[in-house]
Amino acid sequence: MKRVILSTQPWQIQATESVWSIIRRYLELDRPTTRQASDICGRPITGGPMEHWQLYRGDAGVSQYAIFQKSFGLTRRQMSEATLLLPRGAQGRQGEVRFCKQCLLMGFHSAIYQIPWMSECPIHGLPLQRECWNCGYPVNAHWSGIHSGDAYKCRKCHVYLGDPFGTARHPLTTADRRLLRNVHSKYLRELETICRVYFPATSNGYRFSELGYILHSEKMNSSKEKYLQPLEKTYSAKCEIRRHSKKLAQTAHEEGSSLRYERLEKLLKSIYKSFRRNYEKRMDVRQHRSMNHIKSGYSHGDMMEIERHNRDSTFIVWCLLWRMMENIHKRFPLSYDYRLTGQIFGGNVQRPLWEPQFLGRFFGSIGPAWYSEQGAVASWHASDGSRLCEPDLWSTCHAFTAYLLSLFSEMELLADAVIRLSFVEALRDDFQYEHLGIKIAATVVHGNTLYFSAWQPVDRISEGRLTWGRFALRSRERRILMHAEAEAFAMFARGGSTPSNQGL
Amino acid sequence: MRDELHPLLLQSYALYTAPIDEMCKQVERWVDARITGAYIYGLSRIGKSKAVRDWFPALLRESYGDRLAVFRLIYAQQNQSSQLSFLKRIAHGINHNHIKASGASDLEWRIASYFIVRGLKATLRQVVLFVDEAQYMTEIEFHTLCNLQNLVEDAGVRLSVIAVGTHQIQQQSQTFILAHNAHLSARFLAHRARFRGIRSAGELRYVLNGYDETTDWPEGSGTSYTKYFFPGAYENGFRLANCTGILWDIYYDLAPPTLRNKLEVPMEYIATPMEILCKNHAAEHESLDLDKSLLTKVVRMTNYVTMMREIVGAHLIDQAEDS
Repeated sequence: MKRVILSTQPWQIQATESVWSIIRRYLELDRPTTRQASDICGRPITGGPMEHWQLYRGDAGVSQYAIFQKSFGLTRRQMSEATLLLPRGAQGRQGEVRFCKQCLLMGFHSAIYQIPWMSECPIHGLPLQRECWNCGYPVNAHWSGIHSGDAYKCRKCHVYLGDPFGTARHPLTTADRRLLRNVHSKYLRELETICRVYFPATSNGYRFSELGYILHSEKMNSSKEKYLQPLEKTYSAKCEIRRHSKKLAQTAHEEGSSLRYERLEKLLKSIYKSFRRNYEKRMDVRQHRSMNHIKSGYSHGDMMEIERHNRDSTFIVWCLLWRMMENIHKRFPLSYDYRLTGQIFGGNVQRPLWEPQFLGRFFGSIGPAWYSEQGAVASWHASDGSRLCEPDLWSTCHAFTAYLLSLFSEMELLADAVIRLSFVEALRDDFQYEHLGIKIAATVVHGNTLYFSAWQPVDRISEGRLTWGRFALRSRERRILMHAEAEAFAMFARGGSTPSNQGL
Repeated sequence: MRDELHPLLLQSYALYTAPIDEMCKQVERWVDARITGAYIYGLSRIGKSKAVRDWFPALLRESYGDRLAVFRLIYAQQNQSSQLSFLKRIAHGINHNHIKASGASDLEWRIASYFIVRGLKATLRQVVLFVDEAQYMTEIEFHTLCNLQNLVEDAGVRLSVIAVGTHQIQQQSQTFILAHNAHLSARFLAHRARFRGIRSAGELRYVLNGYDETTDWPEGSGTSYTKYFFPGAYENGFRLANCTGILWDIYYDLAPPTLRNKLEVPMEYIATPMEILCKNHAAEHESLDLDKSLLTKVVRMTNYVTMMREIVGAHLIDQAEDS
């Protein structure tokens, strides 16, 4: 393949130099057209959310930079150092660039400056800045348009923030290069440690996102002590949950299959309370936005992994958790609902990425929940139009589930030993449909699809097979089913008996 | 696998000649003096382009290594010369990936940046740009080079432009002075050197010796071009260089009388007869007799006689001597 020759030469790229810095130099030296820039970078650099891509690589890895790497002649090592492996939740304000003034004057910006707890330049010892030193306007990685010769200028006061030929004129010394690379590798080691301590199981997308959520809090604090604080809190909360889990398992062992649903609920409540206590302590309102990241952390892949892991018990745990949380929230509403409500109704709510959608049943709990025509969840409504669930509750529930799932290896024991039996009792007592000898545990309609789960007893009430499935509905069936479900759950909410065979 | 043809048949070879050696030394003197511009002129078909393409960059790299960045550009004459089209030509010449630009200033800056970056990489902070066929360059294009040079100079890098062309380039210099653009003349055309042809039997022997000894094909085989085409005779001691005397006499005899005292044979009229000879008379047998009549016939097959007459008609040699 023909070698790409640009005014930005590969040898100008310094150790750990960020993609943003390279693109900035490219825009300055080569003054490309929009199309040329997108061809070279492998994606459009204007008009899209490019900022994070230039600074952080997140879960997607370096493979997303293949074209970029080839165009600029970066080695594999340079490419892996050019962006910071940091979860999306921890990345802070969109496209925020932190820099050392001295380095930026040299036309250099290192990816390591984006490490949340990095407060000063390892080479010059200067505190890292976020704003133009002349006018205080923030420096960010956003390219609103490619304007000739503007890449190195402050957007507001047009002062030159560096020299595009700086790295060619004054390349880093070997000692500086080594220093930067050491910081980078040290960061990766720390990240690995955090993952190992907090997420003993393999880190999938979801867990990585949760880590980002934790690190996000830490990013707001400059000192390392403050940075460690939320992590310690989280860790203590986890310890507390572990303690509860053990207690639960022990109780289950002692009481055998006679453990009641009420008992289980009580224990789970204490877990949830401890979570919320820590959750509220370390989160300010601004950071609640990152809950969306947690929600988006539920990918279809995660679900499938969990399903493979322990399909039945996962489902039961969720079933109980969502119901329990709803009850708790009714009793103990969050302290700053109005601010969260404002934020979430401000357009931050996105449709959850996870599947299957039947989880929405346990979230909506007392009424049939459905997505709006636009496909975006604004809130959950009953069939009469009244809102069933506050968005803040919704967010918190997701956060909590994310949290609990990270402990799933511990919860597994709990699920196997206790919940299965209790759930059967719950089925008998509270909500179940009978259809052709199979107990339909829950259903939810999403679009024209009915999702259901079924408990099929084998010989004793404590043993059976839990399955779920789905089938397409015609519009008439769908209307009937929705209506029947609404009635059924309304009765259930009032404490009445659940009609059987409704809608099926 | 496709069989490769001999470079001689494809005319894809270059011989080191005395004029090239002379010119290389001159260019090195210019580079050492960090001049802003100079020009090399000479008769047509004398081997200037080949020297610029095959020898100057290679020899400069050999002498200076990474201390110098060398580029070559073949100027293409335009019906309507413009800054943008010339810049595109330069971008093409340096193989820049982004040739299209939204404006001339962007492209100018892009090329200047490229020269600066390459110049900063070189220890001497100097970039040498050879412009072939420079006799057709117009004022606007010299102005463009001037802009580029200024941009590069601002970053502390010297851009030395060495224009290579025919005698017309001398007139260009005078035109600039008459048109009150003396600074262009002073900047780019102040230094000059004439690229000469083969001027003596000794120089001709050196060229022919190239066919006999210094050339090599297939690469690394140790088979010179003469040995390749006349293997039997070569083993028997035949060398093209042995015909130097006869050949020089032929060039002398066929040249117009006014040129004989200052005869300069363009390289093409030496290379082409040798190529004809190799192609038409290649043989395995051990004896090969290249007599004067055969060589005269071969030289006459080229355009040598007509060309030399035209040179006399155009007084090109006189001009060159005067200058």
